[in-house]
Amino acid sequence: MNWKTINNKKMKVNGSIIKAAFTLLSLFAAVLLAGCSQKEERPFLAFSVYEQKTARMAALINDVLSAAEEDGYSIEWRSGDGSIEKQKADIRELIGRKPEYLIVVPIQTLGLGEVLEEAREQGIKVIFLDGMVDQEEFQDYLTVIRPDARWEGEECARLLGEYFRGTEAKILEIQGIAGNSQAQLRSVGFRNQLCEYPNLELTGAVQGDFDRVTAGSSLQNFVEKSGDFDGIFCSSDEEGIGALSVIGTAEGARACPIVSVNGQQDAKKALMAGIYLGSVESSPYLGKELSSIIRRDMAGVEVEKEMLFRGVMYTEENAKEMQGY
Amino acid sequence: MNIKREGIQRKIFVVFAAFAAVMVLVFGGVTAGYLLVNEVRETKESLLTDLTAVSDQFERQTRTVYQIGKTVSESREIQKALKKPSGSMEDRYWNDIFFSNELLYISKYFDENISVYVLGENGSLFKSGYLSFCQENYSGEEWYQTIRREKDVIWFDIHTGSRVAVSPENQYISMGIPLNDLETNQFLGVVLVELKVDDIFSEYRKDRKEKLYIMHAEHEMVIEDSRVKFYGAEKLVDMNGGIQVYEDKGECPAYIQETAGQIRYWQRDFPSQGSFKTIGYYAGYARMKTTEWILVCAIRKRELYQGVILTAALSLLVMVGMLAGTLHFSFFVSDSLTKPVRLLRESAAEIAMGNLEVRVPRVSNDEIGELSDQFNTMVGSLKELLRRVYEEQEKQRAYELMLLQAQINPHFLYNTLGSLQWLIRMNQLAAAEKMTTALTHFFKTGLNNGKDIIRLREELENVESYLTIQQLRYKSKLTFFVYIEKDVEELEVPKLILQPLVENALYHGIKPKEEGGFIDIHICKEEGRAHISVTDDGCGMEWQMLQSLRDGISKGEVSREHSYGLKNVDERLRLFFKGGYEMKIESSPGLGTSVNIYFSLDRNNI
Repeated sequence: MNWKTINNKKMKVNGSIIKAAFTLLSLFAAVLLAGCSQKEERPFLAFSVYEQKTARMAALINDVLSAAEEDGYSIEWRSGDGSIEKQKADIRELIGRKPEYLIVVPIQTLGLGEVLEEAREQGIKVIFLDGMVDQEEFQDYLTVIRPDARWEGEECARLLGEYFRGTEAKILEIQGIAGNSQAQLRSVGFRNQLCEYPNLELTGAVQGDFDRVTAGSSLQNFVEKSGDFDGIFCSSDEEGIGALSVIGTAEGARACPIVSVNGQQDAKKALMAGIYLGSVESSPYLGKELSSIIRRDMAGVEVEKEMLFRGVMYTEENAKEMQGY
Repeated sequence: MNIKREGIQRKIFVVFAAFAAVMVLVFGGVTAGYLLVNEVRETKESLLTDLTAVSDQFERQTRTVYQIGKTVSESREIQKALKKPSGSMEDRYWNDIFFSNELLYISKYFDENISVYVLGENGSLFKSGYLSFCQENYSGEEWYQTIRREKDVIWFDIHTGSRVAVSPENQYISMGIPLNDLETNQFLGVVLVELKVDDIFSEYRKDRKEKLYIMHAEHEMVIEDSRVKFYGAEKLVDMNGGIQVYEDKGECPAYIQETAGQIRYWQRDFPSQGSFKTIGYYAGYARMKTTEWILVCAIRKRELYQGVILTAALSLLVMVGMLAGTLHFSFFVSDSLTKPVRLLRESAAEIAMGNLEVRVPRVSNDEIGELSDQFNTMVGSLKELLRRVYEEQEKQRAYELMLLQAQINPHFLYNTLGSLQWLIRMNQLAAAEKMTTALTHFFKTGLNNGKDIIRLREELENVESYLTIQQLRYKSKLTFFVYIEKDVEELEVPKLILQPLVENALYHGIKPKEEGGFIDIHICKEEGRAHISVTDDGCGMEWQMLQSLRDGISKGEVSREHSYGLKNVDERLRLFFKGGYEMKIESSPGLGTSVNIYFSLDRNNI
């Protein structure tokens, strides 16, 4: 071997080695990075609910999933199990899967602004279902689809007003989850309408959290503190059922009318048994409207910023007609 | 390759590269091997650990389901409520509310993922959860009849959605117990306990390489010769990515069969937990005590080793890169080490060709750099030495030429021939013959056959001839005496060193003196040295002239008029004896001059 020759060709050899190494590394990197997953061709929807244990939410979830499947969307859903932190984490995880639309059933009006902003920054359109967040936190949503909670509250007040017909009575309010938009609106609607009945007095408000056990405990505490009431307004049927279990007897239930919102099966049974005053149906079947909104938006049609729905007030008289989901 | 015969650069490169390559390969191989083995081991351990965690949690919860179901089915209050006829709607509803509340508290106490339902033959429907019943009567349902027939606990497959309530699409397993009157054994209804298992198995729903299966048999699942045989309504449930129930062996993918085939379920003699390998899979299993199901977590071997292969590929890439870098570095090191040596070699070759102007550039500050400097110094010294030798040789030749010229000095020859002519004319034939003989001898010894080195004895004979000639010319004005010790006769000296001294003594010492004088040449050994003295009793020199002469000789700046011949002798003796010689001049005005030469007896031992 002629080392002089090698010396003279040293740069060429080195250059070749470096080039070969870079080529090899580039190929390797390309192979490693080549596994990009294919994007779903079907529009992908992300669906976040704050809980799934109640009949209402179960019905809502199933309806949305069913409607999505019918329209050919792929959808993934997560339940926050009653925790806003979990709902935030769920939304972040769902955002990471790059959906076209993010459908949120928010637990509270405040607290989700940050994650919703993240969704917006990634070009994901946000739709609120069965509730909404505070406008100051987030307002770049596509639409809100919800029952008219204020009207629901008003209807409950009207029913109690009709029931007591001028007789003085104290009304206890069992409120839903603190900060929940529907609960707040129902409360506002109820109280505003109650003002139309000077004979009716709001004797107190306790927390029910849309949960029969919580409502029952709160009521129990109120009673033990010598709370006095003649009638009960509950933000949801769950709280009404909880109140019933505390009242304990049919006579007691008849003597203390309970009115609530939702239109659940248990409320229907109670109505048909004559131990419940009334339940305003707040339909959970919002899937079709949701699909319609998405379809129109994808077609480039401008959609409404808000869609409100009103149900029917059911009493013992028309309880049989009640769907009772 | 015989490395001994290879050049230094190649030797260094080969040795360095071989050593570095061995280190890279050994280290890389050991590291890669460790990583590979570790990765596989960790993956397997992780698989078994995760399976253990899942199976433990599953076992705990199914045990709770069983306990709740058993407790509820044996509850006297519930049995009492189910024995009563349905009654009014109001009564029925109050019953429903009351017992539902009881069940609700049980559910909340134990586990909210557990829902308990009591479905009475009398139409009672109790539930522990908030979900709504999907129908009012379940007695026609196949599962209801199955529970009724079973007369004991029966576990149902994983299913999507609750069997009795309107629920979201969660995954449940359910356990049914017939509710029989404790006294009469009359069938009163069923207790159905449902466990939501999404959270338990949620980890395996994600994009994991490991797949989880539940294997169970409503009657029995027999594995013979690694082939799965299903009897009755046996099912194999694949929970990955949704519920897939294989009711027929033919539907069951081969790899699942292969995995199932490793479990000798029918023998019921295998440990409750373990792992096994099939051709395509590595799997871990855990046997549930409560349900007698078997949880199996399997990973395809190619996915198990996927990370390993990636690690191996990366390791190989790194090792190849390191090897390439090592070779390059080895080449660089060997080249940088040997380049100065090559330069030295090339410079030495140039010098060997006679080019003493070449210098080696100093390219480093190490030993090689020092060697370069020393090489350059050596070359410079060599050049200087050669220059001095050349100069000395030139001087020697010049002196010899002068001597030769002195030898055939025209004046001396002219005068001697003139004297000879006069002697012949005066018919002094004997003197003429003596002069001719002396002249002949003078030239003969002076020429010395061209040799420059002569014996002292011969040198003395030469000067004796000269003095004989001069004595014949100057007659009584000149007398001379020569003496040489026997010990020094054979000493070698440059020729014609005495004649110029004698000539000086004659012309500068004796000749100016009217009465003439005496020249004495004495050669002897003295204190280990040879001593030549040429002494005359002539005019002598004044002190200044003597000093000037001494200085001139020592500096080599003697003019012709101040005894150029003396300087010539001094220079030649200095060249011959290389400084191991000494010349002293003594003189006194009117008394004469003595020139003394000392030199070593052994010219080699100076």
